[in-house]
Amino acid sequence: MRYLLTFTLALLATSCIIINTGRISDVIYVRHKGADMPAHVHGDPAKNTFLIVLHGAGSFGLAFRDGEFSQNLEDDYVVVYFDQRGQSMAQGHYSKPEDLVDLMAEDVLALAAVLREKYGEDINLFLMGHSWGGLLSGATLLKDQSQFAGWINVAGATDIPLATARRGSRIQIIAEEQIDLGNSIEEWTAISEEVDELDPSEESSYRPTLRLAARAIELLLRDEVIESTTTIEKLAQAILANNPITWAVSDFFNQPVSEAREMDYSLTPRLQEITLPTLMIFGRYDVSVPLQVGAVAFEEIGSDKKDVFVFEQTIHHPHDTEGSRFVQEVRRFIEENR
Amino acid sequence: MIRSLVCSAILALIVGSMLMNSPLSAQNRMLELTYSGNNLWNPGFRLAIVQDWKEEKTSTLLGKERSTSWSKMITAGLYHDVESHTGFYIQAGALYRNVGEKGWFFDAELSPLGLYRSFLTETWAVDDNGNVSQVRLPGRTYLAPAAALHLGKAGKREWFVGGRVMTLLPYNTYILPLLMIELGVRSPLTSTK
Repeated sequence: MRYLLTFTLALLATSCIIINTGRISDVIYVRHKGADMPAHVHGDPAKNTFLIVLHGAGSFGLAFRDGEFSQNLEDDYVVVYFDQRGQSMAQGHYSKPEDLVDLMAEDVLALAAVLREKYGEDINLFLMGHSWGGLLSGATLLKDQSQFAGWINVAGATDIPLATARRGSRIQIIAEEQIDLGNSIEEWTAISEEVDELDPSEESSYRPTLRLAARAIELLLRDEVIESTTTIEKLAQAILANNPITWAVSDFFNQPVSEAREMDYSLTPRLQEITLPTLMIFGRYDVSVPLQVGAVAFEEIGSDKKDVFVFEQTIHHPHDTEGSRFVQEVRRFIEENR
Repeated sequence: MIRSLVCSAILALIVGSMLMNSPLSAQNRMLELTYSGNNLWNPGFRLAIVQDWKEEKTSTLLGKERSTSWSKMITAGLYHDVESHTGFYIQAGALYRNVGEKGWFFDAELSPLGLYRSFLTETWAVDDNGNVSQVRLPGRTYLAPAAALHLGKAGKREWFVGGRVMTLLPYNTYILPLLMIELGVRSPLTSTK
């Protein structure tokens, strides 16, 4: 029993060791309307610039804390990896709200208020959203963009009906291109034929189209058109830094994208109202949020200062597949606008 | 926070008094110390008192003698999730044990009474008017029934390994199961006489 006690205490002690490097390394929770949502705050505060990262559907804040984020962006800025309401390690008690997207946007504004309270009213805040996070970040800006110095929309699903409608046609375009290149001709032909049979305007085609998108991604990776990006560091973040069971169960019960789909949620009619400097980055091979969604968002947004980049070797995660270029564009954008 | 502490105290008092009022003697109590890590890598431990409840029965299965018994137990434990929180829980329930001739046993625990309290890192609350304030002793309280299965070797001091599932409810809008991996020992609690 003595050995067991010693072993247990040693484990607890090692888990509590904190190395002070002078940089910010905090885990703070934001309590707002029944939810306690963790924000992992890491980086160098010297430039007084904070970058809030909003993850995509079924993901979690720390999923971004590998590769270029931890090795580069945190050297220049403070990056805030946020677990959204009902996602990953966020907890609490609350009833299902009538307008979940609106409430989650309020959560992001609450996070911004907490960051200003804790780190100073004068900090520069940039808002980055990936995929579902792109929609959420846009919805946040439509509530109050005065809190932020810029918006970075990464493969953002700012128009759910448009993304749903164009997913099949994007798969078709990629299939034709790959057949012309002689890559997995049989498989791409089969995918193309199956897409042909689906009517994107019908609800029943939604899941089958997503399954075809998954097959398309598999082929792009297998034929090495796109480099696979699963790293040990990312797995460690998913399994050790995060709690995979909590994350998976929370995702099972709380799916904001499903809510947004039911509402036919689209920011397009109101994007003119966003006048912040904006950087948009999309992947050429993205079959989750097709390029057309980015093109419409770029056209419609009201910002005078706006840039869009299409990453040629990317499916849906430009920060993973073309990390160096991603950081270069993000750093340039922040330096120009902070 | 105060409400959850009061609830925990009431639960502890009820179950504690049940154990203390048992007609069985102190020699029939065992102390259990268990490494109980959430998902293995979030370290934790729990302490339990196991009290005989119903007399042991012996039966023969395939020519071999096995004894079965029921105990009641109260458990308090905690684990530390390095990146986010510490969880503390108190539970009460029953333990079924089935022991073979050579002392190898399996047991099954069902603890329907349970409370769990998370202790969060620094927490800031934002109210409906946008006012920000720091929360003292932040965390959330959940109902936390649990079930566990163990395999082990009986003796004066016995050891076991197994798993425990605790369900937090209501958690966000639904529930959350927590999986614990366990390695523990039980020793008799001797009388002070």
